[in-house]
Amino acid sequence: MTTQDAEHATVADVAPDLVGAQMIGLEEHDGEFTVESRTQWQLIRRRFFRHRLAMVSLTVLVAMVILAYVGLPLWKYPYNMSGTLENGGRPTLDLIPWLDGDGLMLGEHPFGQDTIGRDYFAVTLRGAQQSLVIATVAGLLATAIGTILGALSGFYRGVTDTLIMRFVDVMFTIPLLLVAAVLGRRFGSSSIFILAVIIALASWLTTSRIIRAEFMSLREKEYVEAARALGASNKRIIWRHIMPNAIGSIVVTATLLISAAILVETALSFLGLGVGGSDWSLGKQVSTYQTAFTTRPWLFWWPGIFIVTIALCINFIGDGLRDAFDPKQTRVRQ
Amino acid sequence: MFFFILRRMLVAIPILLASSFLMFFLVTISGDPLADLRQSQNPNVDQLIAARRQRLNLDQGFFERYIDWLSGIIRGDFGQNREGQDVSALLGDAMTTTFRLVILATLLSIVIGIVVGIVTAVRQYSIIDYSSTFAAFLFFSLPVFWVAVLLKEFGAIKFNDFLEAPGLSPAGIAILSIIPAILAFGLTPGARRRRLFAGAVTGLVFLVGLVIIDATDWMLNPGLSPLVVTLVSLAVGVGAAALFAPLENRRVVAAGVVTALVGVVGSLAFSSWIEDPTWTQLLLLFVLSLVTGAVVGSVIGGVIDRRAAVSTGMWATIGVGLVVVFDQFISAWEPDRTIATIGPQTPNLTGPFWVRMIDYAGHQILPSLALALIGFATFMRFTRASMLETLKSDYVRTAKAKGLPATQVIMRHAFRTALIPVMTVITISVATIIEGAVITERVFAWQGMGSLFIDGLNDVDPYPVMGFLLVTSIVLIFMNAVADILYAYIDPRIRR
Repeated sequence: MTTQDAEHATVADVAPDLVGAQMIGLEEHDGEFTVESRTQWQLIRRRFFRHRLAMVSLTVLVAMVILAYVGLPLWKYPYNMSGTLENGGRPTLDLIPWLDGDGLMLGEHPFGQDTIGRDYFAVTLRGAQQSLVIATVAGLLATAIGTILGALSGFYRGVTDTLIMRFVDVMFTIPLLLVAAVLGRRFGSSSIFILAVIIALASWLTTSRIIRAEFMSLREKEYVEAARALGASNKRIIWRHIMPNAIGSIVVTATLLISAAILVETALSFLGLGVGGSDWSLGKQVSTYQTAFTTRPWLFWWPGIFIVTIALCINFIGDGLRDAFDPKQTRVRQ
Repeated sequence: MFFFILRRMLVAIPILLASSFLMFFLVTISGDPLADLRQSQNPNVDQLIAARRQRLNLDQGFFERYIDWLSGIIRGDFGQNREGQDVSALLGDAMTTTFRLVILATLLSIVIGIVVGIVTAVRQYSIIDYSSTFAAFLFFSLPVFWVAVLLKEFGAIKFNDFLEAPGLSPAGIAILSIIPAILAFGLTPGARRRRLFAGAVTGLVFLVGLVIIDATDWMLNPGLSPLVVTLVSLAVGVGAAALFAPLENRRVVAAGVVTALVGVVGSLAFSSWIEDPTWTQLLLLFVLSLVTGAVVGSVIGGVIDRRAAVSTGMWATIGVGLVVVFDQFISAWEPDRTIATIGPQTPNLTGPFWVRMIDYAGHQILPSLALALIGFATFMRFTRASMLETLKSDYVRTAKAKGLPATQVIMRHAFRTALIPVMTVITISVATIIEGAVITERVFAWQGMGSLFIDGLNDVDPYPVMGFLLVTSIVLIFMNAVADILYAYIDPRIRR
């Protein structure tokens, strides 16, 4: 990364008007305008941190992760302890103080209790922990598989490309959820990591196509030709020259895969192929309590709201990253 | 073109073979089909095991079983399930149920998604743009079955409760009038004052309409009077004209209005057919009205505007037809919990045509809506991005500079090009919609391909699962081929 930073800094220093206004920040110093060069990474970071929606989403997401991992151990009830039902297990959380005048309060069981008296706040946090792990592992693994296969295919072309892409074509004819269901039926429900691997195996296809297209266009660029003329090996060209330029697409697809993985996990849970045993995930909570909707709606609402919030935040972050890496596609008026 | 299609079809065969082999492998390793019998206490368990071994071909090796299954498929025999029922027959029933759902959901999401996508691209950075983009992001983040359960609760149970004693609160009326007012404000082009005016008028119209509806208990006994049908039809006629020419063009507007009037008169003349039609009669009426629209358009349009006037006439008749059908629909409405939560239709229902239709619709609407949400979000986002790209291109600017009407520039020049990437997404999304259908069917208790697949998977019953996978992969390959052929049709450069 340092070499790349250096490269860009030099270009901007030597020929500022060639680089374009985007690369240069104008700042006021002692009543005079001086030109401060920014590296590409600084520019991307700046654009991302200025994306308001993405920042809000990032804050919310970080807060939820902290709540799940720090909040659960600190909370007075463990997630697997059953107890006596109080007030029919109704939630005691009061977020709208002006309705009944009790003021903002958490109460004994903020999200209520489930049918056998477990504290549902603890259960939901446990579910969120598991879902976050599954989604992150699945999303990153799928990105890794898709990137490696897409990169090989786009860089080497020829037989490698044909073999990999025909395989992707074949996989595309099978609905992915169903591959996951079949694999989950065989290997699943013993550990959340196996579940994550199954989800990853079923969701890398689109990524590989995107990365392949990216590599195919990047490998024809002049700087790749120059590097090759200087005698750079394929490995060096891929890692030093192409990868840094493809990182935008990779990061954006990774975030989208993570948010998709949460939904796939939910769907698998609904089909009875999700997290097994007495453990929880958000998807398992929703599918377990879907019939309780009329009698105990909170058992259905809370995990659902968590799923939607997490997925929505990740999608918005992905959108902010896309804007940061590729300002041409910006959604908000400049 | 013919050879292009032929080649495209031939490429599909090896892909289909490979994918069926892969699927057969996956299904074979998914579990032991004899698991339940091995634990059985039944005295004749050995016989049962032997029978099932024989039925499912378990004595042979993997490759022999695959070849057997494949040659069965070529003969049109999909094998048997564990109980010895023919999978072909099961699959046939399941397919009609599921495809009804998938096709309607796909069409709904394509139409709404593309329309909203175009509108948001043309009115970039408007309220509508921001709110529908947010909606799309929200829909991307919703688990399909969570939505389905919510729809069941609020779209069916609560809505039916509401219809048994309908009444709008003042707050409800206010909200229902403000939303269209904001929409009109966002959609109208031009200066701020003009847009505010349009918003205010729309809001007022909705306010008055809703107050009348509420005061007259219209929702207990819905139906459109001939006067309302005529007025709405006239509006449809003018609207159709606006699609094809600027409203200053008198001839085209006249074509729309006259067609609408002819349509209303025609619907009165054929009222006995319309009130209890058969499918043939309905089709005949549709063709007849299209022809009428075209004839009226070409007579009124004169030489210069003939093309626009004919299109206007045809679209106006379609619009009038929809109004008339809508009238029949709501007239057949009985407030007896029509929005259903279970199954694809009321079993053994007999009655007039429209009563049966509204029963279908009441069962179909919620699952289709739950499914359509995902597709809608995808199609809307892609149409918007792709339209923004083409709207910025040089040839669109040229077309505008030549003074072509805005609708023509958007629909003919920009949209046609923008459609190409959208079509790719549509064909890819069909897979997602079928996956979603498996889940939605389960929530709404439809006995379709979804239950065939899931029950088969849970019972380790290989052939129903294979049947499902084969049908879906054929559909997906077919959709891909259709997309390629459509590209070649839209973009001649691809026809190599």
